[in-house]
Amino acid sequence: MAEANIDKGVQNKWCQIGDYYGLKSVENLCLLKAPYDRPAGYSGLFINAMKEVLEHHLKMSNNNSNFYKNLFNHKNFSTKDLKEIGDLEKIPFIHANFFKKHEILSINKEKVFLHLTSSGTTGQKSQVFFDEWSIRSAQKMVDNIFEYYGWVNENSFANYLLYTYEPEEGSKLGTAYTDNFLCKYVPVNKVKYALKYYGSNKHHFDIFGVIESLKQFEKENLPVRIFGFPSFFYFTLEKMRELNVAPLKLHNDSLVFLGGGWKKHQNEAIEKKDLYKLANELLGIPDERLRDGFGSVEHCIPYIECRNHNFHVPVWSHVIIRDLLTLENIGYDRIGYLNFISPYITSMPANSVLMGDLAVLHKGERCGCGIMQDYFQIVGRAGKSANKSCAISASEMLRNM
Amino acid sequence: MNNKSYKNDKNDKNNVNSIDAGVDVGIDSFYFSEQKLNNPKMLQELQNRVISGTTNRFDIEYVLDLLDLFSKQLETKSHDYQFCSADEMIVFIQFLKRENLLKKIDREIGGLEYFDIRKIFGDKDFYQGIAPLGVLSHVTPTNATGLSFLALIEGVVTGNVNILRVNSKDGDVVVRLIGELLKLDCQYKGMLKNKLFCIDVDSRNQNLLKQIFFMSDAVSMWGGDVAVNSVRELLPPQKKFIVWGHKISFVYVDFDSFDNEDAMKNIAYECVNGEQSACSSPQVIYLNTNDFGQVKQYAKKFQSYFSQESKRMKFDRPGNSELSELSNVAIVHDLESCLGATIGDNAVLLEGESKDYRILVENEMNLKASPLFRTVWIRPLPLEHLPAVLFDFRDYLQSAGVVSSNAIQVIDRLIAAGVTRITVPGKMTDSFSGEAHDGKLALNQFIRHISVRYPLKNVGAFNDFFKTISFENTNASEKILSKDQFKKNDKSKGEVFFKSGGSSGVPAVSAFTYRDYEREMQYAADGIIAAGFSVEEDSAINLFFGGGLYGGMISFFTILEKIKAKQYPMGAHDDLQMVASTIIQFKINTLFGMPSYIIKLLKNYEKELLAYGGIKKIFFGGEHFNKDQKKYLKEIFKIDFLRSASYGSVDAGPLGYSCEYCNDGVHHLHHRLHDFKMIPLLDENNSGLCKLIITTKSRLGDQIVNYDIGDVGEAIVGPCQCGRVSPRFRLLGRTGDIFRAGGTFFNYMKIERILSDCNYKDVLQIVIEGNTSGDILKLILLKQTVVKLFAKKNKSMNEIILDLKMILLNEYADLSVAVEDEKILGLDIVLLESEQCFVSSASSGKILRVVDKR
Repeated sequence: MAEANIDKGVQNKWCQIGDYYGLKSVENLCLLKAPYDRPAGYSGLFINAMKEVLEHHLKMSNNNSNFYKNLFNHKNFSTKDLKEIGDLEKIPFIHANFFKKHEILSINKEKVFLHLTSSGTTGQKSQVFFDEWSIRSAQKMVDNIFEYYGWVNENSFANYLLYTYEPEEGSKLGTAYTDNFLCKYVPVNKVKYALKYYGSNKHHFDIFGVIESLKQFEKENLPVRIFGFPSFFYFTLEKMRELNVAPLKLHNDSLVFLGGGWKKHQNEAIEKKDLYKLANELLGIPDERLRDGFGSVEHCIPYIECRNHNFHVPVWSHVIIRDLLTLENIGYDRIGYLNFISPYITSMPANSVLMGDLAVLHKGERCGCGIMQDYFQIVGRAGKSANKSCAISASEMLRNM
Repeated sequence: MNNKSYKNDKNDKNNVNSIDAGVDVGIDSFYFSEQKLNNPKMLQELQNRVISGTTNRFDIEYVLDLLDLFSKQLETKSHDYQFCSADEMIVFIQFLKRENLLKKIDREIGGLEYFDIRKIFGDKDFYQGIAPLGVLSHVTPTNATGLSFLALIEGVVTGNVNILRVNSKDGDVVVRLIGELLKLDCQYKGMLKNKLFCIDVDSRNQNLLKQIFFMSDAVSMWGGDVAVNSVRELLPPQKKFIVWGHKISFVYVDFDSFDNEDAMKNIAYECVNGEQSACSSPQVIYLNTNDFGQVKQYAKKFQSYFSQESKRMKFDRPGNSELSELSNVAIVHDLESCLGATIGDNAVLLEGESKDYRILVENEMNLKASPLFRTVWIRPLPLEHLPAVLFDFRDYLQSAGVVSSNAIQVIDRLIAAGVTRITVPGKMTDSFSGEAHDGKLALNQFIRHISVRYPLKNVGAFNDFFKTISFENTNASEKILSKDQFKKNDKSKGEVFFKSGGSSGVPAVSAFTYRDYEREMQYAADGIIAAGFSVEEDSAINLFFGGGLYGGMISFFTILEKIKAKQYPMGAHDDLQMVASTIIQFKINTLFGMPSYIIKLLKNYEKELLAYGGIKKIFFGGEHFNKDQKKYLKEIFKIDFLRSASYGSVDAGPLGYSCEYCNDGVHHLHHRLHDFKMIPLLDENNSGLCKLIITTKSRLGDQIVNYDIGDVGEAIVGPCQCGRVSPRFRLLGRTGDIFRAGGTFFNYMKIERILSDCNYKDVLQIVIEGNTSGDILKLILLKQTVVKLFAKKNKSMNEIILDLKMILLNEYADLSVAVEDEKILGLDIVLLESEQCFVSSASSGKILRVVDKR
């Protein structure tokens, strides 16, 4: 496996899907440059791409296990049923939790380019395997979005504060990978890792080191890029306030781009707007340079906040919200399961993934940022009930096993 | 209760030990908000009041009476309690009933008598008993409304001071209920004052909670692991932490019962009932097989029952979190059914058409929690794998519903594997009063076991050294229960019956439940220890009559058994020779029996028994020894230890006992068993004579309320030398023996005793006649006995009568005052030829003792 080769090599090389599988529509769709503009013939392209990739998985399913074939039979689905965008909801979806328990591959093991583990909070972690195409195409999408927002500047330098695990030999954690990869858009001056590696597989949150670095960065007056877990960023700001650290004024072109858990202690969620307000007050970063990203190892398409802090759906994917019991498509403005659909991934049949998140889909024009693509809003985790019975819950049992 | 109050002085609340009545029971008196407690002064105030609560004297009988009345109040004034749901109300009403709490107390701590520190026989000077833990903090769950209140009541009946951290779910209800309960308590003796507190503190205010938990002797915690851990972290290492955690239950179907469709129906009911939210609801159905084909077959058949049962009860769509949790599991399971060569090789999802239920069939043995809401796992688990599979889950195991033709073997395996509660599907969520919860008995968790090793002479139990606090329900009936009414009492709850009189054909009975009987015998046993029976030294023969529903011998057997006395249960056997030889052969030193039988025995075998010379103590009952008999025992047998074995009646059970300082008919009341009123007989010269009226506190068989026991006595005021504070009285005879003539009360027994002392020991009838000049008292005696008595003295009949009159007037002061000083009463002595000439009772044919002809 090649999972250790995550650094420099990946960043600048580009590869084409045709090299491997000849899925032309998939390649054409995923290489669309403008994230939020649908070109003419877009719907047909998307459907064709989906058909191609599903057929690819079915074919490969036969080689490795009968899972995908069985699933299509079990759900009475055939790729022939895909005729228009409205048919996407018919594709049998796979719950993200399923990937936490089972390794389903549509490629031979030697083609695994990257093996990522989700930063699961409780126990089980997803094991997701990428071939070179799948991860590169997702990264290309990030490039395109960064480009779209004008966050790429190769002629300057930036200081980086990464709220992520300092890499150790052979790290498989997806977030660490993502955040390192994000350093390429503006050349690195210095990098500070908030979660310092202490050896023996242990990381510690170096909160005072982080505060010192921020002070240093202010003095250096270079743009600062802060990436990573919102929770640790929040703790930093809280600590600054507690210690009465005088508000800093970081460089105007600084950028905060967060991703990952929004939980503080005892499962209490951090209010995003509180965090933005704090960051604005204590670091002097303007609201529109504070952005959150939504993504996961089970579905790597980047969803990056617009200036109004909404997650618009880019051209490379579709979003369906499903009823929590009947699992039917419930359209706009109602809470349900978040179902992501994209043809990008060829290494695993994760093209229609039901996320463990509760979300609401809104019409794009409601946002007002100018992007007309629909956007979704995350309203909670699926199955995170505060156990209201006196019967033990599965998560409780898990925690102690 | 003090010395005065049992004399019908019911409103005298100020006399009650350490309780100040008329307390303020506004919400401020027991409810402390977080804001209030953040003020150190208020926190100190709470602590002071908690300390004061621990010193409040606790009387379980009072508490049971109060709670029973509260239960009735909830029932009859339910419109005042709209803040409770109807379901909660039913639970509260049932829970608070005296009968149900008694059952709970019996089963969980062994009975009311365990609240006393009592001698444990077998080790010298060793006493044991229970005491409240002291201060109990309760942290209750938000998933079971009303549970907080029940938890508090459990704390109250064990005598603890209780601090409840109110929760968002039932806080309001509980605070209002406590307010109402305290208000009621305040109308009586206010014993619960400073015993119940509510604190409204956010779980995040850990510093404050820490300080409050520090005041407690124990924290009783309900909730899931995260909540439990967060509280545990706040406690000092030694603090007792009682956890009622989340649990898992399952059904186990044996291989011989895979076709048992009745069971399937019941299992389906369990999976629908209450949306499986009880910890006793099954989350998994295990089948005793390792053939997954059989498991799938079973699941298919079970589905039709599940479907039917689910249709019977409407499926309310749960909240989003719960819904997504159950869908997460179902979706993943459905996907897993596609793993493997063909669909359903290792997993199958069976769902209702409208997704109202889910059966997750899986070829895995592990115990797996279900997301509830009509979702159940079906898995294979051969019996031999049970211990290994359940091993990791023992902290969480609760109930198992068993379906098997060989249930005992299966149950045995389940118990060994860590299951604490086993029942049949269909009854899994039913519980009964006094049932262990998660292997624990709540009340037993809330007490301390106390041991005292201290030499104390003639002390069987500590209870009578402290006053009782009687509830004295002001609304209770004042009506006196007569013997005739007693016969008509409801006897349906009785389990042990003793004959209570009734001469014609069917005997009247006195009904006891076993717990009534056992408890009353326990106190009677304490009584004979107080009277001077020594378990270490004495060896007893029980010579009371037995059989024919008579309670004497049997109850004394139990009494002696209670204290593990060495005893020979002889009964009043006709074969006196055998009885005497037994005494001699086994070196018995203590006789229990009726005076007449004992005297007969001693006289018949005087020589042998004198030669043995070992009889040292006599405990008597049923009648008294007269002067001559006492003299005989003392002079011939050198026995001066004569004590009443017990004062009691078949109807009301043991009523009193004589400690070593009780002479001449003086008894201590068994005040833990009975409340006692002495109603003065109307009496111009203030004789102090009273009728004894009994109310038995916790008897379930026969209800003894204001029962006229038919005895007359006088109160003995002041402390007893033995140190016991239980009320004392001197027995002076039967109610019918006391009569009023010439404005004064006279006692038949006193006249009988005077005559007996001058050796007239035959029939005595007193006839009261009235004429214009006043009442005349006629003593009717049997002529031949009187003649025999005076034969040697060579006196005429008139002289004899005059002599007797003189003796009576000399010995009976009240009689002399009425006859000689005030001259309002005539005294006559009439001699009749035979007993037939005396006036007899029409019903029983017995000669009447007192005949009022006025």
